Amino acid sequence: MLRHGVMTVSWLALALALAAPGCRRPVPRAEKPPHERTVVSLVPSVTETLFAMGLGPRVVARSSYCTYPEEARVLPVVGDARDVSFERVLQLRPDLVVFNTSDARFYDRLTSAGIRCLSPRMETVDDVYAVIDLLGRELGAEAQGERLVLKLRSELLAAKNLVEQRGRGDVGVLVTFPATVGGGGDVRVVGRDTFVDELLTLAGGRNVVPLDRYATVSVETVVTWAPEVIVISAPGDIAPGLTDEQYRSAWSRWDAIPAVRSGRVVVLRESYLTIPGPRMGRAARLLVGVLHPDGAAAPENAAQ
Amino acid sequence: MKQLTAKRYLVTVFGAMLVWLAVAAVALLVGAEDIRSFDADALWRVIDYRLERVLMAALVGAALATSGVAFQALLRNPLAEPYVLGVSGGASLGVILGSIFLPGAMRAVTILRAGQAVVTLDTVGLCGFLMALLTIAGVYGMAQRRGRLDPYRLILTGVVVNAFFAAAIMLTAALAGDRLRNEIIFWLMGGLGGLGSRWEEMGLAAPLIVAGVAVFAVQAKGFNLLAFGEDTAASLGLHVERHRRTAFVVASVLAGTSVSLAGPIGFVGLIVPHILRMIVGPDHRLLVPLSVFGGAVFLTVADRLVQMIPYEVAGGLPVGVVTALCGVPFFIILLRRGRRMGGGAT
Repeated sequence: MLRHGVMTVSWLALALALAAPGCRRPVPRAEKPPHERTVVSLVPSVTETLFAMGLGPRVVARSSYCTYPEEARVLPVVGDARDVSFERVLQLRPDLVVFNTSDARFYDRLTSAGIRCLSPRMETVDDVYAVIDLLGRELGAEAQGERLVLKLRSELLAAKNLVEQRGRGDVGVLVTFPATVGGGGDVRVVGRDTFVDELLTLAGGRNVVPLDRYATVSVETVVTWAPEVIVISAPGDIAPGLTDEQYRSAWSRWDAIPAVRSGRVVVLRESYLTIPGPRMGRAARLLVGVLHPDGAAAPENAAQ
Repeated sequence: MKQLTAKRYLVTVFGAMLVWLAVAAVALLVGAEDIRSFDADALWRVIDYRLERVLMAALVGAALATSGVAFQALLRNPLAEPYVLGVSGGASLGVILGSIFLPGAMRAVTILRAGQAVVTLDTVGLCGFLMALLTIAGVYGMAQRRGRLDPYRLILTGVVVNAFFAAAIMLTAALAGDRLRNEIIFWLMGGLGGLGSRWEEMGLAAPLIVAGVAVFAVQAKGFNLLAFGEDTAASLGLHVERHRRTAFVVASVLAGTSVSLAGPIGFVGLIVPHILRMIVGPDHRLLVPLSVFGGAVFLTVADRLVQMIPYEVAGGLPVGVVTALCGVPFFIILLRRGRRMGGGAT
């Protein structure tokens, strides 16, 4: 009986001893100078931006969605959009964690462990510039940031100039995500107030969708919008194994739509079309090629 | 049971057919957009598209409603419906896995080539149908004892099989990427198709559904006898086991076909038979043909309602959402009333 009591007490003491360090208030770690800080990025566009700024070696972990550039793939994965492993992040002891706004609970835990957290909005062209500026300041890479912003601005300007050179009026465009499961239902379209909408305008197009953000509409409604070009965004990692022709053929019966009648239904496999980040200049140029094809400058899949 | 005269039969069945034709005609005129907003070119395309949806609704609605009638009589349970035995789960998993893993080149196989006309078979739907057949065989194998199908064992087996497929579908969705997961969830709500043409799939499913309904029409008298209990039915000359086996297979094939075509659209197979029973009584000789038109009308109306919701409010709502929303309150009323509504004892 007595032995039992002693056992219990000693177990309790052990448990307390183990738990005690965890109960202590976190001591803020000595702030490292910005150019030595390491970072965990859980946002694909931010990961991409960090690498584009030449900060790749400072990134210590990523999310499972951060698969670009190729160098990022070797980094350890600490989570995805739904869940992040708090323990694994702590083990890596980064100075900064960048994540999506949806992970707000995670924020408190990390900040109380003395790790700085950021969840910047990354939805528009201006957001991209702001995030580059922010990362530059946080990581002591202001100069690299400025260079990248300058490069992106000139790329977008070049795309705009190209449109003006080709001197075409605006083209009504519909950007759509194809259905892949069970033949699919109605048409999922990209509306106003999106990154893609911004790029379309820049590339001399006019988004025919009068709705905000993303929406699903009946194909009858698409007929009334009468787009002159239909862009089917089907990155390979999302859409399993369908050919461009298969995606296009779903529209083939709708020759009442100008885009279908004139054969301007384009399948784009490039994932960066919908990712705000350092490849937006390329995305803009791609769209210029699709909307205003001009001989050699046009990508192959634009001329159908 | 009211005497079934030839006159009453013809009047009721033709009446139901006329109602369906009227609803179908209206459905061609109303939809997502005002029919007057299309020019002549577009108008025919839109009518063709709406006609396809109306016929799809008719096929799927008829298959689900007749299958529901048969299951309720077969299992002698008013809460039975086409998905009760897990066939829908099997078909759904087949369609989802087919959609994810079938390479593009295998998405369609040409089954007929006659000059310009090429008939292709959608292999994703076929995956669903084959999985449905496998599930039927599995459920039968597990539920039968020396070739005898006991309704209670059948229901219990169905519950387990349903749970298994629900888990398998959840696993697939959990492992799929974000966008694919969204699509899977949407597809599971059931819909009558959208962008691409589905005439060929419908052409292949139609003979199957018509044949199934014909079998039930022949079996209708047997369903009536079963309502008096197995022994009575047997003493009145019904070959109970054979009747049950046939009904089980045919009703399951109809359920599997409709899921392969349009996803698991809920509650049509449960509430349409009950509504019709309230109107014409429990005679299966009337219930079977009426549920063909009843299912078609119900699903057509539900689909039109979904289509007519302005896209600013809730565009692209799957039809299964509406049928389930209508179905759930009805289900509760049915349970609360607690009286005999099925083909037999509760």
